[in-house]
Amino acid sequence: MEHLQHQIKEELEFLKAFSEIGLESLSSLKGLRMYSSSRDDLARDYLDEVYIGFNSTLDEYFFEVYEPRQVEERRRIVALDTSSTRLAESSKGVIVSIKGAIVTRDLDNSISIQTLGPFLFYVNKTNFKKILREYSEFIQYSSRYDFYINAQRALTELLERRMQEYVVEQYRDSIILFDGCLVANNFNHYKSVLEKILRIAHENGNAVIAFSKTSFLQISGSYLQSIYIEEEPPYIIDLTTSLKHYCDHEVRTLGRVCLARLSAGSLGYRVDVPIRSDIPTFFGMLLRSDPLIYGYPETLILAHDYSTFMRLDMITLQTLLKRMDVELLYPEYVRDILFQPLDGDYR
Amino acid sequence: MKILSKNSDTIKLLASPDEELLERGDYLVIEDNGKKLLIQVIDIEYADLPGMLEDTLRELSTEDVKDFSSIDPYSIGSIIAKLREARLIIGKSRGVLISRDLRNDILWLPSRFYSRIQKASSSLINELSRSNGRRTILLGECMGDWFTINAESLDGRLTIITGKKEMGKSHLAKLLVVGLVEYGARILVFDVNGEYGGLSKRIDGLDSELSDRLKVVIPSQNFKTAIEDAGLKTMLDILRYVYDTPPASLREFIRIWHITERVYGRVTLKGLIEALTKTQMNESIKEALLSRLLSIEDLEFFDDEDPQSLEDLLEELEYGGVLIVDLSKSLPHGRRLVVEYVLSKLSTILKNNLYPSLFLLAEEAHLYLRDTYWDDLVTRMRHIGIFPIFVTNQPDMIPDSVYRQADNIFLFNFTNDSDLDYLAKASRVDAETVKRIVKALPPKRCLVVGRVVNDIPIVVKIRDLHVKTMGETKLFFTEAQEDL
Repeated sequence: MEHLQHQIKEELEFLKAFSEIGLESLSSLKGLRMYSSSRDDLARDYLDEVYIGFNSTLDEYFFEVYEPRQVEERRRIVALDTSSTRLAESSKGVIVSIKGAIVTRDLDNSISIQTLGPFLFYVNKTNFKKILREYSEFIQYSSRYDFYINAQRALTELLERRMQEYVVEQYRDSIILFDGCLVANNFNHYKSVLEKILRIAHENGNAVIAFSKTSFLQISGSYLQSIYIEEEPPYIIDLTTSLKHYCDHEVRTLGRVCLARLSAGSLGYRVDVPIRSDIPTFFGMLLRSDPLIYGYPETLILAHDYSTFMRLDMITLQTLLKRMDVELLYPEYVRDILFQPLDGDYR
Repeated sequence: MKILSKNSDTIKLLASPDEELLERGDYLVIEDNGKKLLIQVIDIEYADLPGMLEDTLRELSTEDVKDFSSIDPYSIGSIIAKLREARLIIGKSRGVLISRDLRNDILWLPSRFYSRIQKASSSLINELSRSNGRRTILLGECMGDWFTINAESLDGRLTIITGKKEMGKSHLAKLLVVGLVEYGARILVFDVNGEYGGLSKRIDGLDSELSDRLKVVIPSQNFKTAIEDAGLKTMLDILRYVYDTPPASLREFIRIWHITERVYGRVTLKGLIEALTKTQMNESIKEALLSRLLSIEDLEFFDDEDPQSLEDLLEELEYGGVLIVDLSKSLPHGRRLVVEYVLSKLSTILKNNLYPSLFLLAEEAHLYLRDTYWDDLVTRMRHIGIFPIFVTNQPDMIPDSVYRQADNIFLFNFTNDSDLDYLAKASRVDAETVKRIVKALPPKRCLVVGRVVNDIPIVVKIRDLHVKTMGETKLFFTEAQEDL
């Protein structure tokens, strides 16, 4: 840990505590026999919204369509993203690894990348409150699997919110790109944290735009991304009023919910912006400042790339666990050993 | 190192980048429960790890990044760096070692996880590759130690030295000559470039210990022979193979030969020409034979008045000596004529047991040995006591059948794939070994296969000789030029 002291700048002090807690949780791992988690669970995004469905057509709702304003002003782009993976699990607990990335595109188009982590946590039913603190209220579970999923989700949210706090405090007059949406679920703590982040961002002259790569928002059974209007992109459809009217009262949207289709032929994305945002100006500045790839900001793609766990990261983390004297069992291998080649074709 | 897989005789090992440096041709011993598997390293590659493509692409994209920093609490970056650099060592199984005896008939595999892998000791490799005999020739270095072969493993054998130019073929040939002569061997050398005379001098200019054991003969200068000594059969071969004489003309030549013999009492070149001009025959055949005989006369190789016999020249070689036939000053057809004569004559001498067996070293053999000679040299001449050492940079000029019968092959670098394909088909070792090792050999290193190394392929760095080898390329841009 000593080398970590040198790595972490004062502004990122929270990471020190974060990794210390992680390290402490790992101390009880020695000699444990755990199952490596399924490969399908790699790098999931847990901060995406909950399912919301409108059982009607778009025309029946009140919505506004904006065009990005032609602006001269360019701004620095700061994008951040996190990802997490469950490395191993047993009947007692789960080992979760999380990492994040902050990518900055300056006005001269130069790019800086900072990766944070991976951090490792061993979460079980006895230590999760200590590790997650306020975020532990997230952990409501009916099964062991729910516990694992929620622990992973809570830790990811914890890191992501701290990174968001750090970014909005550190940067001024920038466009801050979040991955996901500006939604606080039915927990008061999340709501206050997100409100604080958006307030500081506003005070520092930052424009926060949250992009969802996938959205579960449906209108008449169609996903939001597949809805088109009679306009040539770029355009932004503001659905906030409709949502307020119809959505589940437990989901608190802290911003305006839009569908943004920013380049011709590209997909549409759910985009959340703070309530008092000047949508045409925000998106005008974004288009002037960051290249788009399939209508999605490149800087945010980079943040996603650098926060994603690669196979090599997984092998390395498993090596690390073995060095910590954790015996890892691979369910797929066991299955292969027992049943291959007889059941290989239908998996 | 860990065993990754085995497919046929190819064994793949995973190794970390900081393992001991290996070279192509090095041997590894995989030990498990007292048994040992001997494998030869033929190549090294990057290990194909899961997610490597994504990782490399990501790395590529950061090349334009102004500033990259990371907070890595568990220093996994260093582990990843090591994993990313993991190496895949490709080896060929050469057999199972049971009490220092290499066995190919035993089916045994070491454990993938618990076996110990280490570099084989040079003494073990020397011991395993040692053929029968006690006359050692120091060839060079192998796996950091001196490497010797036994002169007996060249005796009675067909040896081929091949590789592209400037790789050290002639140097090795000279080293073998020096080594064999030390043990009393008699060697006849066809020296196309006039290099072997240099063996009589040391690098410092003084006479070498070989100086009184070398005899350099230059055809048409200090080496001339009589037509009668060559005999009718050799002359027919010369006319047929060197001068492309058709069968009808050859029949007339036989008639002329006998007429000359009858009329003059002996056969001379002058007599043959005279008899040809006076004898009645088809004018065009007469013209064809006459032009050929005059061409032979122009070479001045045949001197019926003051001839030397090959027997006499060979007799001059004392116990252990080299007769160098310097062909560097001969025209191409003159060179072939001399070779036809010498080989034909040698064959007669040895067949009649007039002289003990000898080694025949043919430099740039492809330039003057006609197609029919290859099989002849390989089969018949071996039985009468000529043990050829062919040196060539055109392996495809030597027929497949010769390679298949070769006892020893010294392979220097070849980069041309078609040459490698050819050698891979024909040499005494598996194709993959030839292709992977030979392609990457630096100058003065060769892959030795065959009886001389007890059929264990060995990569040898050929040692320097203390005598003048004179095989270096003459350059225009020398240091003296640069001073101008």
